[in-house]
Amino acid sequence: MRLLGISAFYHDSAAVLLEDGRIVAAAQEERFSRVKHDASFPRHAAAWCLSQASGPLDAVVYYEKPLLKFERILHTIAAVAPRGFGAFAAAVPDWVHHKLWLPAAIDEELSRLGQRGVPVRFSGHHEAHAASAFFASPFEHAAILTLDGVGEWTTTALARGHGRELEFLRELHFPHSLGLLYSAFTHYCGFRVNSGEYKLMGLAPYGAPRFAWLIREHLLDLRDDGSFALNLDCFGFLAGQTMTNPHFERLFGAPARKPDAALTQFHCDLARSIQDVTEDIVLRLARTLHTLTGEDNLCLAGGVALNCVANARLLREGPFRNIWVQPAAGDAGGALGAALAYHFAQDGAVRTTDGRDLMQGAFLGPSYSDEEIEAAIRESGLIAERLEPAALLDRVASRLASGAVVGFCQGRAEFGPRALGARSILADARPSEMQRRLNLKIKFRESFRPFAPIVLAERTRDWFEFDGASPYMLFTAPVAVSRCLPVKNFGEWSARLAEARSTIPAVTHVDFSARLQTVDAETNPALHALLSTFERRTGCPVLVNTSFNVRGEPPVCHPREAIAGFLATDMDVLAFGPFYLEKEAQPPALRRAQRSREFAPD
Amino acid sequence: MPLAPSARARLHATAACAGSWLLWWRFEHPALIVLAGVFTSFAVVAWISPRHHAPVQRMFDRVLHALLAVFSWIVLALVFALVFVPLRVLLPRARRRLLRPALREGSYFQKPPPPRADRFSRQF
Repeated sequence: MRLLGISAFYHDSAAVLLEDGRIVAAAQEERFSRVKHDASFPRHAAAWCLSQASGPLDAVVYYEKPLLKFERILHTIAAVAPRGFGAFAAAVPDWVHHKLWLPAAIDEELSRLGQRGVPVRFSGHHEAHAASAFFASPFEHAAILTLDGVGEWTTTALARGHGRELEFLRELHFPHSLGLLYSAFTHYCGFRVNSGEYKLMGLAPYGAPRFAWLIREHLLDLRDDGSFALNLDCFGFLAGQTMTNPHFERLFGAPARKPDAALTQFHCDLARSIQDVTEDIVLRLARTLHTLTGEDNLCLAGGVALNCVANARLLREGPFRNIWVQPAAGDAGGALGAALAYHFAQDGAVRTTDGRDLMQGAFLGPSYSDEEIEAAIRESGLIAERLEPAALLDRVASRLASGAVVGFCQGRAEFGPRALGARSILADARPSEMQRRLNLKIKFRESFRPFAPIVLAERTRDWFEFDGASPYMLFTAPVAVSRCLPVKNFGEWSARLAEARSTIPAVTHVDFSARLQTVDAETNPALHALLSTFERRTGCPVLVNTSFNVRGEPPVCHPREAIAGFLATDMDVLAFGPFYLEKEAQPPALRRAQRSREFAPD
Repeated sequence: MPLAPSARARLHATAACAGSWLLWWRFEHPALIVLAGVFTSFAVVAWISPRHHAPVQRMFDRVLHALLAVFSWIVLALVFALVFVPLRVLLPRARRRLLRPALREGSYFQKPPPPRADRFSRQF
């Protein structure tokens, strides 16, 4: 059975091609359209997925139930009227024009791609999340927890998976949502909702949880089993277009931060407080789920599952022995989950597990032939060398060891929000000024934001207090005590930014934690070989890994985008496929012309 | 099939010309003959040289867009006032349920209904 899963029209639209339960191709629309978090119909992603198909489609599966979602919107408008006209006027025309006619719209889009008359099916939003978490996991049976903003009505679902069956046990419904609660604080701290949540998470370790009691006391009624109800008097998302309202601002004694205003200790403390409350809720939910299912394995999905600090605490303190998090845990992964849910609901579908997950390291996106890469380089007018794999890795490792920042693009692009080594920027984690240089001169982003380390899987315990694997960068772990340095500065958060806290300061956050990616030879041979070469040269099997993009743009996909990013920033080297490009070797006129680019805020 | 820009310009200008003459014939106000004259000139330009008519066409489009936007807001406001505001008064329990979920045995959890076999065919 050949299925196309689709998520669209909210944020992070994506398409996934599934053949007999195997993921053949998966891509987010933003990688093609170059619009960050693109919500439009994923016509480029679908076209690329279909180009990888070995025959015609049997069905298209959309990741949520549009009429149920519309019902929720109308119900909310009726509940808050006569307030909420703005929300009504913003939502309803779009629904009347487009979203209510989804089967026809999908049919029309697919007809353009040569697939006429394919039946359109609909999965529930949280069913898609749960399926993406469980069916893609390495477990034969597991408890499943899905947490996000909202789908149709459900915001949180507790479920059990066994073989090819999903059983939903408990749910929390809109507007009582952990995702929306976290997003409210994201908005209040001046970051963009559905985009800036990871910034809030990164800011949290600089603060103290001095507002956690206020949140528990006034913003939600949290029960022992993890269920909760929000105090809707303090939120603006029911009746308006903003997440918070004046009651919320009065509660914390300050107006919402403007995006370009300075961050203060107050915002750090808020970030830490909501992070603590989030972790508390996730832990309670996990304990309830464990009691209901008795399982040792847990699968996580939904946008909140991208909170790697909460995931790590769940692993450390929670009742489950094994945790697997869907790497595309947000709405993009809904496209995968919808297709998987439909596939395994069919008679005759067989699910077997061999201890490995279905995600193939999340390297499910487009790749480009050597000829295509060469053509893009030639078109740009840049000078490149073509090297054998061993020579390329040796050259890159040597330049990394000398402090260079390298754009590293090999094989298929990643599916999901994390760069895992296929479209990455790599750097040496040891120099103390590397974090600042990467933030300000390569990524053009806020200086407080931490970078993630990649480490050889077999060396993980030498450098981090972490057992097991974290191939998708979805858990944090403390840097090994033996690698840590004594702290001298206990002052304001901004003063603590520059202080080196370990022998790998570029990836050590202010609380000595790191958002870890372990690299094994089987899933990611190129990156593993590079880390091994780097370790042979330096004795350190750790590098900085950050997504290959610049501020306001999605990660690069095509070689021409990588070349544009290489020229627009202070990156020293680009290695795309077998081609090696040194910035210093490029014509000065090209370098000057590209560096004058302006970057949109993210 | 959408009309070519020149054909669209000619159609709009001719319709505006015909409409203005119709108005003058019906009401015979002196201002209306001036309007009809202006629209006739636009129509002649549109038929002879659509390129020179383009700025007028753009102005027409903007006016039409603004009128449609105003019309949309009026319709939305009417639907909101006549449907949703009365619903809010008629359905207080639904509102309460949304804003404050039922607390059963100390928990806000709800038990989901069993899945339907035909659920993938349904949009709800």
